[in-house]
Amino acid sequence: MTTVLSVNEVSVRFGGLVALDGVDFKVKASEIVGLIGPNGAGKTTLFSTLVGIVRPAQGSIFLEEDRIDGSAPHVIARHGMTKTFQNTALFPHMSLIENVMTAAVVHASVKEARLEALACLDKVGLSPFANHSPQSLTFPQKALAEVARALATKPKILLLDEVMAALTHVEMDLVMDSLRKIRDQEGIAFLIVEHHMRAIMGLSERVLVLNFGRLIADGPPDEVSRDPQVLTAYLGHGHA
Amino acid sequence: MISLLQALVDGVLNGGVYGVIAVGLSLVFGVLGIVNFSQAQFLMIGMYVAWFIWHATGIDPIIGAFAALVVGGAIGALLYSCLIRHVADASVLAQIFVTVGLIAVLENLALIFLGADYRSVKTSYQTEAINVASVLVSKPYLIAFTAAIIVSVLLSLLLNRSWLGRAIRATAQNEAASTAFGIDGLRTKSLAFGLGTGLTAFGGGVILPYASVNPTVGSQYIVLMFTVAVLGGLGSTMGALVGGIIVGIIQSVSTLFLPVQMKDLALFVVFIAILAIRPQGLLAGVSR
Amino acid sequence: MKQALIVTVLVALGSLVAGFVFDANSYPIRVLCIVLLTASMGQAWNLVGGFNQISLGHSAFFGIGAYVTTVAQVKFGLNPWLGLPLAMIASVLFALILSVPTMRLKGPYFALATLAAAEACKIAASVMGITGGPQGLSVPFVGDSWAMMQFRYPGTYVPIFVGLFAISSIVFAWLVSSRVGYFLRAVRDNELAAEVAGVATFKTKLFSSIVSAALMAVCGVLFAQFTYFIDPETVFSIPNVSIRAALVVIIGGVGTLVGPLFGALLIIPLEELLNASLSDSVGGLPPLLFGALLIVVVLLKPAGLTSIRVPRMGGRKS
Repeated sequence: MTTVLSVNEVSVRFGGLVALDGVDFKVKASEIVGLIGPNGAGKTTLFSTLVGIVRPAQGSIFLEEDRIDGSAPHVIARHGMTKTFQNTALFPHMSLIENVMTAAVVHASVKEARLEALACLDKVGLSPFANHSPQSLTFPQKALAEVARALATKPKILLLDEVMAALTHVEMDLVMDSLRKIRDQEGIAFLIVEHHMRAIMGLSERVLVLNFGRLIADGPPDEVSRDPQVLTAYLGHGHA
Repeated sequence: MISLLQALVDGVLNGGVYGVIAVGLSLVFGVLGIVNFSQAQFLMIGMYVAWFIWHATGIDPIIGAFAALVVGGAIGALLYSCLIRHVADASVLAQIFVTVGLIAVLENLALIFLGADYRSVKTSYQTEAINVASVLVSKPYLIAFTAAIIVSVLLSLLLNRSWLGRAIRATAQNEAASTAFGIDGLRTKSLAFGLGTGLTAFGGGVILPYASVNPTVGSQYIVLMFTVAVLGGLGSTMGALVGGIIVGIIQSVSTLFLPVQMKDLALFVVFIAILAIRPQGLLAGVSR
Repeated sequence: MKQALIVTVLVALGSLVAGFVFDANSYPIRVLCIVLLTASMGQAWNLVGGFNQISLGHSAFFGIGAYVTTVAQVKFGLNPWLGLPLAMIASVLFALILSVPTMRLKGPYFALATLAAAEACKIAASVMGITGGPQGLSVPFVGDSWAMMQFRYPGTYVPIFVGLFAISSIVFAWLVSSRVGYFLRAVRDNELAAEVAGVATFKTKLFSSIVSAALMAVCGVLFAQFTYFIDPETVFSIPNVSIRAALVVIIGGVGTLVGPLFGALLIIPLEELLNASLSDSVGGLPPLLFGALLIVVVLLKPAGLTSIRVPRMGGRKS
């Protein structure tokens, strides 16, 4: 399988603070990779760096064969990588479908974009809300709407930032099914940040663990959940 | 060489005053987060107050400037509590155009009630200068500068040592927490805004010995004030003073090799350059 | 949008008819021309202001347009129709140059930079010899001439102003319903999210400011040809050009197709009425009123005075 994302020894500094320290991993096409770590570990910073909001101080990032670190976010999006926002960032003065169309008109006409947008909304089960304004949606719906908009960019890899945060177990299973279906049908890879272990264990083929900006584990879910370093990171010393 | 020295002296003296004129702008942005586009109109208000006091009683405008501070401050505080506080959670458009609208309101109120004529004062020292090693230190400039420095020191004491100053800084940093400690957010903010406009009005009184006032005088100073405030860092009161002196020097030195009408042009170019390169100013935000 | 387009077409047609029916030298016709010009200026501002790029410096483009054609006419004998594209190019160049330092600025900082740029233009025009200095320039009067874009009476100008108004409305309508319209609205709503979703935000903002600058320059050209005299204080005026353009749009409805028209229809006749009936000593009353109106609208009815009757573009109630 081809590698879709290659992160090589990436470090990010904010003034004197080291937010990411030599992070190195790869994601293969169609792979679903989970990303976990305690609060403040650097997960959001990693996402921001991957999509180009933040520039790495060291290291390189490759999307398939293209080197993308240092590129503007819209360039990276057009190359095939985008993310959702943890606090949802839908365009408030546009309807749901117009939100998704905005991503689609980057590469299509307005007419084609409308059809694409409907298809994306359908994939996350939000078709009935196409003409609603974002303010009328519940938080979980907004999170899914962001996924729909991200899908409209025709990504090769999608970075999901806690899209299942406010869901019940039943809702979570439905979303997980949708994501698996999208992966199967479109061949999109996913890098998913979640705090619910159920989602991470249920979806991920591989799990990355970040702590204080460093990658401390990279492997299958059951291995990672028994890794002493990971347990120490979450629970403190003496629990490994 | 003498002319350069002369320009530097003039620049520093003028600049100190520019600093006091602009510090109000900086304070308002630092504490309240709004850019008051009508700040220059308070310069006009201050000039008129000092003029009327001089006209009626003969009291020197430098003294009158303190009255201008009170009047300008009161008007500002009133405007804030009635009007401007509503833009805190409004759109960018509202935040900009509420104070832009005030420009026309204040200017034209002055025009209607006070007429369009230019008014100036006559003081005993107006044309005098002290000769220091062949550099002419203009007395009105020197007196204005001294008054400006005194007020700056008082301001600094107020902000750092007084209860009001602490309340202002607390409200700027965390309004919810300050309210929990009994600080009335609206009152504090109105006072902060009033302090800002009052300081600019004070500056107006202080420059009256060498500048004339008419309703539109504000528009001559608006870009200059903003250049000073942005140069020093919007929100930094120390920065406004440093910025003022830098601007004063740029202005007076540029007249050495540019035609007089273009001295402001040099300023505007500097302003745009600062905004582009380092919008947080040379002394980035101290109070915010 | 459909209703708005219909209203626009009706007003355009109505104006043409009025131009034929009324006496060419009549006062209402003159006012009509100014209304159409002001609406077009507003529409130019609307292209950027309607998408949250609040400019206070549009007088720069207006003045550049007015001066380029007038100087070309006076010094080089160039016909204003040929001078028009030159004026647009000059204005666009200025917009491009200005975009470099200002593109990363937000809100009030951006507005301040545009203000400074417009003031700088005014000063430059006052000191340059070629622009005639502070005394300004007069457009040489040759009498009725389509070739030289000038006529004896306002009535004959009406088709030109209707044309300007129609073009500005078409440009706005097209821009908004095109792909660029989605980019502009996204950038307005959340620039970072737009960027991450693939929108080239810098290019988008640059594009709208270029179109806006070009349109504003055309307004300046027509102003010069209509009033026969320009000087720095008039054509580079912040209150009478920059703020005026924003005022009519804000009052009429920011970001809407008919906003500028309704704003102009309210403000211009009102101003004429007040100026005619008040004595000189209260000459400051109209600007005072408009300043107060601006404040009131922006605080109480931010969608503009016409938001009650005219549906917002996109038909979405927020």
